[in-house]
Amino acid sequence: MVLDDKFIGRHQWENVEQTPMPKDIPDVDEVGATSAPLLSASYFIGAKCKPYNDDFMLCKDEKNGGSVECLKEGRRVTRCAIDVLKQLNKHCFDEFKLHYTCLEQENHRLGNCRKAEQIFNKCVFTHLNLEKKIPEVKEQIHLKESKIFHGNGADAGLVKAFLAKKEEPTN
Amino acid sequence: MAIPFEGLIPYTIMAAFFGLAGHGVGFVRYWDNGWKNDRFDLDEFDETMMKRDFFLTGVKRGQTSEAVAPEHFKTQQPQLEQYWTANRNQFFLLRERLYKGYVSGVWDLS
Repeated sequence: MVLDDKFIGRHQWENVEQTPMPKDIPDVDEVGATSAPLLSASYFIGAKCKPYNDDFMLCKDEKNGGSVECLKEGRRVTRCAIDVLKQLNKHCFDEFKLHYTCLEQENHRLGNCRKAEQIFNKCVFTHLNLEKKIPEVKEQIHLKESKIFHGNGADAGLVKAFLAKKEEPTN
Repeated sequence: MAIPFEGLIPYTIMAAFFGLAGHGVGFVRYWDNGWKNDRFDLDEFDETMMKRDFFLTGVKRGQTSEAVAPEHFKTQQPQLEQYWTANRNQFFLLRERLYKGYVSGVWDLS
C-alpha cells in the first residue's frame, strides 16, 4: 500500500487462518465445482443425496442450528455431492459440459437450455440411474414439449452440432 | 415526393455512429466476460457464487466441473481490513485535503 507506514489509516492487510481445525475433526474435501456445473448437477445431487441432506437439516433443526454438532452430517453431505460430481464427470462429461456452458451463456436460466438439459438428463439416467424431479410442483416443467420463452436460441443449434459430432465415428 | 439522398446523409452518419458505439460496447463487454454474455438480475447469492468461482478458477467468469477443490480453497476467505480513521472518505477532492493540511498543518492522507 502507498504511504501505509506514514499514515496508519492506509495500512491494509488480509486475514489469514491462524487457528486451523483441531486434530480430532476429520478432514473433508471441499466441492470444487463452480456455480454453473453445480446448478446443472443440482437435481441429481438432490436425488442421490436426499437422505444425507435430510439428515443434516434435521440435525440443524434439533441442535438449534448446530454449526459444531452437525459437522459429521455436513461432511457426509459434502462427500456425497463430490461423489455425484465425480460420477457425472466420469460418465457424462461432454453432456454435462454442454449444459453448463449453455447455462453460463444464458445467465444461468435453466429454461433457456432445455435441449442440452434433455440429452444430459438422458445420459445421467442411463449411466447413473438418477432422474431429475422437481419436488412439490404440479407439473415437471423440464418435460414440457412446447414452451414460449427460449432465451437467445443458441441451445438447439449447439445440441444439434453436438449430436452430429457424437454420431460421426459410428458412420 | 421523393427526398433527395443528400438530405438523408446526416441521418445515415448519425445512425451509423450510434450503431458503432452500441455494438462496440457490447463487443467489449462480451470479450471482457471471457466470450460470454453478461450476467444480469443478480442477487446476493449469485454475487457470492461468482466470487467463489473466481477463487476456484482464478479468472473472471471461469467455470470448472472439477469435483474436489484444491487444498488451499478450504481455508481461503480474503477480506480487506483497515483501521478506522476519522476523516476517511470525507474529502471529495485531493485539493480539499491539501487545503486542509496547508491551513491546519495536519496532513490527513488517509
